Amino acid sequence: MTTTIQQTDLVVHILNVGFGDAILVELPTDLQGRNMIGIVDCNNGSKMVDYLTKLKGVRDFDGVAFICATHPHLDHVRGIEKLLKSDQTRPEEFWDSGFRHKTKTYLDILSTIHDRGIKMRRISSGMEAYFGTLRITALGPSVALRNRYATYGIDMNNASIVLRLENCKEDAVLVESVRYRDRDDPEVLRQAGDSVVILGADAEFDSWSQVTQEYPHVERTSKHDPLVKKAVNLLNCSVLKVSHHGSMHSAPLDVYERMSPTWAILSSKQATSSVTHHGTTLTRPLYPHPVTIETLRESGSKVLSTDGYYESVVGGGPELTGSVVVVVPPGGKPSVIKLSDDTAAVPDPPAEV
Amino acid sequence: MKEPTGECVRVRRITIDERLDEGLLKIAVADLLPGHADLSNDPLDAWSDERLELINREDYMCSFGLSKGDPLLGVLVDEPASESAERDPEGTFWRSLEEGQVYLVGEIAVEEAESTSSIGIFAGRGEHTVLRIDRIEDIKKKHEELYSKALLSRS
Repeated sequence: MTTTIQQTDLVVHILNVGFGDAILVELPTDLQGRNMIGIVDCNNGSKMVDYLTKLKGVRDFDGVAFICATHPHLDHVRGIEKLLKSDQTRPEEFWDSGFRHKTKTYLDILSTIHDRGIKMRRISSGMEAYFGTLRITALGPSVALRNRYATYGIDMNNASIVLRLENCKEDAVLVESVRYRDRDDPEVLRQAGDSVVILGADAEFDSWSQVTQEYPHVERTSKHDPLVKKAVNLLNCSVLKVSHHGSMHSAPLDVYERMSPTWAILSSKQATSSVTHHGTTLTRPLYPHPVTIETLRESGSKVLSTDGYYESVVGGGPELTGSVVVVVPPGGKPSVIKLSDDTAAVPDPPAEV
Repeated sequence: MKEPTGECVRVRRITIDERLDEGLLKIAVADLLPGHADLSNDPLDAWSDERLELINREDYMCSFGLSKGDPLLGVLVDEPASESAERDPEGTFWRSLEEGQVYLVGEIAVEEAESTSSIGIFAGRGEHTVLRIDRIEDIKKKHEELYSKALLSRS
């Protein structure tokens, strides 16, 4: 049975752009009645623009609320300048991690932001933004990490903006206030992540260690009743965009167990590398790394990869490439479909799931 | 898209984008466009759009226009007098490559001004060299000003 996608749904399009990220987010209708979009990273500006043109023919939108550069590595920002320069995709805000890079691409982005008078915001953990029933929360980078950028003790991946997107059944703030009231049933906890999508950017160990500290799994027990008011696991989610294309440092198993995603999406193009330890050369795939593949299998998630590598390795079938679209109705469970485009093709955005 | 033509001087701007692995680096490479020679202040319009290249420890020297045993390697490593550099300058240079470093590679000349602390960098003069520019004060200042102007922008 198929269902027509509604303007009240949260729709996340993870485009197949090879090694890199380009994510389009259709935001639910806001209180002003606007249907806005957000863009999280863009490794291919032309594909994003052409896909948006097709989307307008399926579900029109009123403008771009934000473009988020999770961090300035080339495979995440290469297409952003094109979007900033176009009137069709000029955003109301540009979200930046605060970690400065020196590629011409990133410096051009800064120059364009200034020339076009676009509002730039430095995002760190705890930031919230609301679009109708959708609440966006920045899980990373933590302020603790951001304050260490200047020392170069933090690498760019761990400066990534990690976003939690929750499409609530009704007003997000009201939902928060009543969700856990007088309820400590574990089933409530499990369901809390039904409408949540986490976009992991390229966060690695340093970042996740801060995230788990700042967003703890607080359990309510009779012993702790006077002290703990809520039972909440804000990392619980239905869909996870796996961080750093599935690299060996992207997937701490205990964090994935906290998230317990039903679906895990890999945006990647496999590459192989060799490393020599004590005279022995180890050659292995990097994106995803075998460690990540095992972690995802342990977590029990259903996995889709844009380059089809994961499905071919685990399922033994052909490498079927394609963008992945996630549809989350307000307060509901997500539907996930994989399109069948290669990196050069522009697929048709789905009208129904 | 800005692309170089065959008439341009072959000079490249290489930024270390990301260390993916002990043996694998991702670099952003831009080619010098025709009609540009003064690179003293890292002019952004002098360069083609960047392309992404993966380089490994075995073949990375080609990207810098260097060959095995090139005497320039001894100059490039941060600690040329160290024993490790004398034994293995290629390996020392490889290990010293970190994200955020920017190099100009090709026929360029560096001229120091007599009256100021500024230096001039000119393409098309001199021999093949590799010059790290992200630590040059004037260029660092320019990059910081670009960030500051963007952050202070308001629609």
